[in-house]
Amino acid sequence: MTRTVLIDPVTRIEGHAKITLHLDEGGHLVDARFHVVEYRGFEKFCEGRPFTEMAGITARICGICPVSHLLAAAKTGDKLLAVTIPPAAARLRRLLNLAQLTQSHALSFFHLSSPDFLLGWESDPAKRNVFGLMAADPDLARAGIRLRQFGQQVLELLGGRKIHSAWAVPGGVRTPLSAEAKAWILDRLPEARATVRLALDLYKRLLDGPLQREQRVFGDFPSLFLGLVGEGGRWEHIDGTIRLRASDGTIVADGLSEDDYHAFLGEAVEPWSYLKFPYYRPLGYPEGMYRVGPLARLNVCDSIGTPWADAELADLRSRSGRVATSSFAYHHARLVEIVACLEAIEELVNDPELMTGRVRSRAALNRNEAVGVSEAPRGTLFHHYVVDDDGLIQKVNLIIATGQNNLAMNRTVAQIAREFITEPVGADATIPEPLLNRVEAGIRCFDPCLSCSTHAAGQMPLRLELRAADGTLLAERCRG
Amino acid sequence: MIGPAAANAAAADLVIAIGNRLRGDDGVGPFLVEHLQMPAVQIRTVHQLTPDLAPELVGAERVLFVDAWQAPAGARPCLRPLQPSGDGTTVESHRLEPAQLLQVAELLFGGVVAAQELLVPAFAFAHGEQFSAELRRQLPAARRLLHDWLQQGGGQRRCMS
Repeated sequence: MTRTVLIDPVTRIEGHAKITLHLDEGGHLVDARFHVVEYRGFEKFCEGRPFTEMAGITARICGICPVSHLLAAAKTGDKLLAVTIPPAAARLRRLLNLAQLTQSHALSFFHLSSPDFLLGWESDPAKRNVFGLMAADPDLARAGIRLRQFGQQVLELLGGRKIHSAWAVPGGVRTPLSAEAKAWILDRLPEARATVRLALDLYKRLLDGPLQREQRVFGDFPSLFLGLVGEGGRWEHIDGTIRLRASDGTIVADGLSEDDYHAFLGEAVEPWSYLKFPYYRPLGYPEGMYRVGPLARLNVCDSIGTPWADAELADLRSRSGRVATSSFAYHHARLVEIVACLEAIEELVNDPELMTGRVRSRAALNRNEAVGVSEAPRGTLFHHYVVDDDGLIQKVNLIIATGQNNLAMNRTVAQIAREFITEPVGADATIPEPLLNRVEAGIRCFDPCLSCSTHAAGQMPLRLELRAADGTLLAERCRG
Repeated sequence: MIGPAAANAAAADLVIAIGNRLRGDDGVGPFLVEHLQMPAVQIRTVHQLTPDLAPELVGAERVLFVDAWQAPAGARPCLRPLQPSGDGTTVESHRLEPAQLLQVAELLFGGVVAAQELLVPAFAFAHGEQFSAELRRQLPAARRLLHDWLQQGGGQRRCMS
């Protein structure tokens, strides 16, 4: 009789999910599934709305990364208008996305994941949170909160509000950078730099010490990596073209346009999850598994293009190889990307054109179909709209970063469970809390946003189920 | 909107309205502060409380949280003092209770602030901008309590009867 372990809900992630661990008749793990059990249907109810509203509507998919949808929708709108946006607008959008990457990565690292690193995998779960972190390392907790506040504040200074701003529009952005905003950003940048330096130093000490096992067993397997790259193969987050690189370093595809995503990406579905399973079409499903997000962006690019970030990228590669294959390296990649963002922000805010230039191109509808892409904190985001001659949406397809990591998340969970379930599981099985936490932490490496990936609402608790071969529920553990 | 100056220096009084204007009665907090304009009062409207709000409490003398309240039957709008606390049924990274936010502000940023919450009984949270009839009946009392806090400084628990 095969059996299943259930983890439901998964905690400290964005949304609601459960995990099932399936056992064979001998009590050995045979499969693990990460189930997303919420549904919202944005793609359907956007039908009939003017495409000019899509930035505002799709930004509401998420309260953590609304900027990603805002930018992807605005870029798709640019193409429907068939305009080239003013250079100042393009740079202002870059600035917005850099601030978003900073705040989201800070949230993931400092608030969601660092309690595991600093307090220990087996520490009291009631204290393994931001309050526990405050007690254990108040300086780090304070710095992390201030770093996220910095990113959030830049979003507000540009867009008028931290969440669900409607500042980016088809054709550009609504307003330039103000002198006050520039002064505030420049004033706070040194502190932000000091914070990420503090975090990197701490994290590297942990990598060299107590986190070695996690690097080895938290989702270390070969896969493709997908992300945007700019000119010369540089790190990119909003423009550029799509590149796929394999774990052995081979560039599998390069210079791909989002316009052709149907040719190289497929979307599989499984009956046990609302989250789709995108794959690289030439390799088929599920062999075409690929990963996106901060680790993928660093793996696909040749360099970042700013001095400190390039030094940190070299350090990451010296530790993890040219292509880091462990999903645990997502945490390190987030810190490196924060460095990249802070350096790029400093460069951009000193560009006088951001304060004076024309920031919006205006036109009527000129096309009926377009695809826009941006790099969300969690990975590459595609918006695809078909509109009628009045600009009303006829069809929407959103391919979200978390969905693209779906196959890899399942594989990560299975690898962790195999590592930590060392004995055959009996019929009277219980789920120890440290196993629950490590399985959750495997998911948290990807910093999934299930609100985005299913376009769903709500908190993200976790449930773990242990199931027998015939589907019988043997044990479950819930949190959240 | 908080301007750059406000980002660096808190006002004497801070009002944090919590809620979503698109989810029925949940939006009562943001609704009540929508047209408030007082020079010494900084207004913040948020969907939920996050730790990065804590630094903004530093320097404020008083803070008022205005929120919808899934109250027991017959409850009326209520103004009550708050103390910092790390307790709670759950601790989430981006959905803190007001007392938890006060705790973060005090422990990490030295922000000791006289805090109160104005709770407005709420009944319907479906999608939409309309308030329920029951909540609309509570609005005059809620406005009076908000006005009292702004004018007098509050400090004591007060519930409308």
